[in-house]
Amino acid sequence: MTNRPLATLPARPNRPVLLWVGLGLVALAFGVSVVAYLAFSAPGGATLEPQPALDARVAAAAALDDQTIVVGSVTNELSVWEAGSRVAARQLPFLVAAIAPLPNDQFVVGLVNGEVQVYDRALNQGLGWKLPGRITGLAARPNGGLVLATGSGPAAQDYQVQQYAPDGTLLSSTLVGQATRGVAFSNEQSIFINTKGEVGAVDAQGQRSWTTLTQQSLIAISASSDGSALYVGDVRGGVSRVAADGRVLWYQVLTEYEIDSLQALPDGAGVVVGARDGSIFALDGDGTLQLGRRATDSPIKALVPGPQGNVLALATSGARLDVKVATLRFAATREQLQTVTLIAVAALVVAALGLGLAGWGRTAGAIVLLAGRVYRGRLGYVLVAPSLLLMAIFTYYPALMAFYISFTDFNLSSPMEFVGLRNFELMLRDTYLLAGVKNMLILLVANVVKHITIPLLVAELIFWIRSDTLKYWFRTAFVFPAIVPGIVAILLWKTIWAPNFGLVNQILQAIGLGQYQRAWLGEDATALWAVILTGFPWVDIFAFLVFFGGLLTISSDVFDAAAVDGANGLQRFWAIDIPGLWPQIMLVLFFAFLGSIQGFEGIYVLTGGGPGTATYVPALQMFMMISTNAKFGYASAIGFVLAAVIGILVFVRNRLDPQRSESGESLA
Amino acid sequence: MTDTTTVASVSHNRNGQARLGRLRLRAPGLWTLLQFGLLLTILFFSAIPIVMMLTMSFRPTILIYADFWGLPWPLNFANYTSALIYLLAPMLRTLFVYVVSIVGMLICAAPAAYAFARLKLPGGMQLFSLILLIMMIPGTILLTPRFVLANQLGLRDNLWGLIVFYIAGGQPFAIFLLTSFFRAQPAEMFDAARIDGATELQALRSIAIPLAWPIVITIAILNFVGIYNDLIWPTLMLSSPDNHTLTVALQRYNPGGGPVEVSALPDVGGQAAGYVFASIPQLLVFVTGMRYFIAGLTSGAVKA
Repeated sequence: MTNRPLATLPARPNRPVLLWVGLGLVALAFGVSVVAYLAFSAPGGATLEPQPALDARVAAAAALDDQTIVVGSVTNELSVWEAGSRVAARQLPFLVAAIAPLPNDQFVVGLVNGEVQVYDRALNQGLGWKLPGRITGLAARPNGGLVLATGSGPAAQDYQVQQYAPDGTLLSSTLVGQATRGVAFSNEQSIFINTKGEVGAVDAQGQRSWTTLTQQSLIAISASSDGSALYVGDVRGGVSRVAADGRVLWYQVLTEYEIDSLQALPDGAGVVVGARDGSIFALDGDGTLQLGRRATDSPIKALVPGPQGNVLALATSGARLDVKVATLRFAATREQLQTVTLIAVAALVVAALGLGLAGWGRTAGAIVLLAGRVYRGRLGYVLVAPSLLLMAIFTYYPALMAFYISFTDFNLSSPMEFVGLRNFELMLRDTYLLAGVKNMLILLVANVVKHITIPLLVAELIFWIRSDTLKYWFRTAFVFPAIVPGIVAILLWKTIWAPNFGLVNQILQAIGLGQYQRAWLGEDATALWAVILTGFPWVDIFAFLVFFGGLLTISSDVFDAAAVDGANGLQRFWAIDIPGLWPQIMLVLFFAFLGSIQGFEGIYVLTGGGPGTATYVPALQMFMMISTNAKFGYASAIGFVLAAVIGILVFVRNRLDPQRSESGESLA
Repeated sequence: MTDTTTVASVSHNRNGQARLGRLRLRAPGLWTLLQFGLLLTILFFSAIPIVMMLTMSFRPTILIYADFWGLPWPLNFANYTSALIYLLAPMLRTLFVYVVSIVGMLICAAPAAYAFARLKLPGGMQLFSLILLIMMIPGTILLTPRFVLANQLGLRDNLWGLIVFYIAGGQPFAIFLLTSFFRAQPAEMFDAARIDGATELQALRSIAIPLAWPIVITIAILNFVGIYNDLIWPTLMLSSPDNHTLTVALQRYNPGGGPVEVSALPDVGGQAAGYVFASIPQLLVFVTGMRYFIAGLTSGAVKA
């Protein structure tokens, strides 16, 4: 590098080296992806472990200790279970609405008829009383007392939050109106939720201290035993963390089904969520999803503390799952580690790339020399740094990330999982994509024809105009339509094709062919043709200027010789113009291919791919996967396949036309 | 870059005319007739959408529906009033995004290009290749991860989210053009400046950039076309109508009707006026910078 004059520096990068380095980069990124997957996928942030099912149809449950749970079944049976077997059972007169453990090995049961009953482990009944309405929520107060929610019916406005002392005396009764679906005790306050979407706090004196209105009807609530965290769940699959002063710290929609149960973990570590469709989720304290899986096909009715700090999930069917959350707190750190690894890997790749490009077999002495020059050239690096940094963050990192997420099911609502080649298999079965490929091939042929014929014809016609002035004016006139922004041109054509008042239908009407009027873009038979004909007469300005410029570079001696030999216009065109314009034709062809493979704006605006799949193209499917389906792994995989096709195209072009100038050709 | 020079010399090509003259002796008048007839026909069809847009924009929609072929007389400006009301804000947003992006792009790219062209930069060629390599990455690969990245960085639904991606995305091409241009500037000028005690930054600001003005304008115009017409990225990024840029707003623009998706009889007159309104900035840029526009469009086969 020392003896290379700087002025000639990067005029023309060495292509084979670039190609090999590119391949090396891909291989390295692949290796790193695999290693990262192996390193990070093994123990998830939380895992599910099915346990033998209980022989009971669970309506409500609570844990008395690590090993003992008490279950209220839909058959009105109250039972105590130890290690999966029933140790005591008792028939109750009504359905159990809520169960809450109390100190002294006791627990309290609330029934739908308003009865409140306290039992011990052996199901001996202690205290008991009856309220006029139904019991909808129960929670223990740390001093042995309890708090409950009661009211007369789902639509009633008479719901109350009542607080009781350990001996069953009523301490306070607070009217909270709307149907209350659960209570919890957190930070010296009783917290209730209702179907209107309110979270409210009632203090020890029965005074309401704060109320927060959320978006959805709330049906589940859980506070961690140490009061560090409070979570609520709604009928639309959303879970929020609520701060001690009522602020909503975060809100996450996990599913479209009701959140039937919640269990907050101690130390603000997170929360386990059970949904109506049998899904179980685990979120850390920041609301980051660590687990999300459909565990069974019956509603997860209860989540109770289990052995080793895990959470036990109980479904209505009796299905029982151990949610191992011990790693949940670690998961956040792990995620950071993952990011750090990714950055380190990116740096490695860049460094490897730089080293690879710098050439092989340099000695240590050269490196020392280089260090000195690097130091002297520090101003240059400072000048280059902002630009490189931007490109590293917004182009190189995404490109690496694209590679990685193509092999995952990355979406925003469940944790990323490595799925190998599943996205690529999925493409082979995606009817939209397959229909899109067919349409793309048709459009590709049409685009090639459109880009070569008319622009070349116009360029030739103008080139052979005698007068320089006229030549100039015609060229300008043909470039002039470029003042209309692309989106406007497309929207204008949408108007031209429109069913009721579109220009095409109006013309048909005017010339007496009214019976052929139709919704051109809206019918299967015509939509693709309308898309192809859009832009008629297709004087692509880029192609036109390239051809025109190309004609100017053909030596006039050749034309003179042709004239002397008596060649007519057509002969001259085939014998001189076409060979002379070959590089330009290849260029225009290349961009026509490129545009057909990765362009979809026009179709998106004109038809949105419809009707049905009549005008769908693969790139549009990729866009839809990003914008409406949030299937980023799949979208990325489609992008990769399209890019691979383009890569082949570039390769073929280099083979066909090796001497072309490679100046600043962008595929973006 | 070869194309740039050839196109720029279009109207000065005397040889072409000379040889035309000789060919013309053989070509009968019929050929000339055919030549101009064809050119004018193609031009006529190319102009149809624009003429339709203009006539519709000056007619109330209800009259268009009543008599499609009626003349736009007397001129009706009501459509333009609503275009101004509804589309001015989106247009200003687009122009804001463009101006900030192009300034940011040049501020980052010009020093980098100067370093590549004029400074002793060990590894400079490798870095430069790294930048050229970016231009070989197809856009289809980048769309998804860039969207995910924007999500992670909280840049969604935010004009700055567009701007940073435009600045970063425009770097390779701007650096490439500027570097070639800087390198072609005579080194003696810079040596003289150094002897007179100018720092590199002063040389960049007072010599390199003023002399590179044509290429700066070309970059600015190319990016104008790119950013002003960009539809996909803003559609993905901007969700709330208060942030919509012009292209996004135009898609749903239906001033006299309901949501454009469900409207069977859209306000075509109003829409046409909106389209004309949206074309004005590009018209201005085009008229003032047509030379650069054509040079840019063909320079090294820009982004298709």
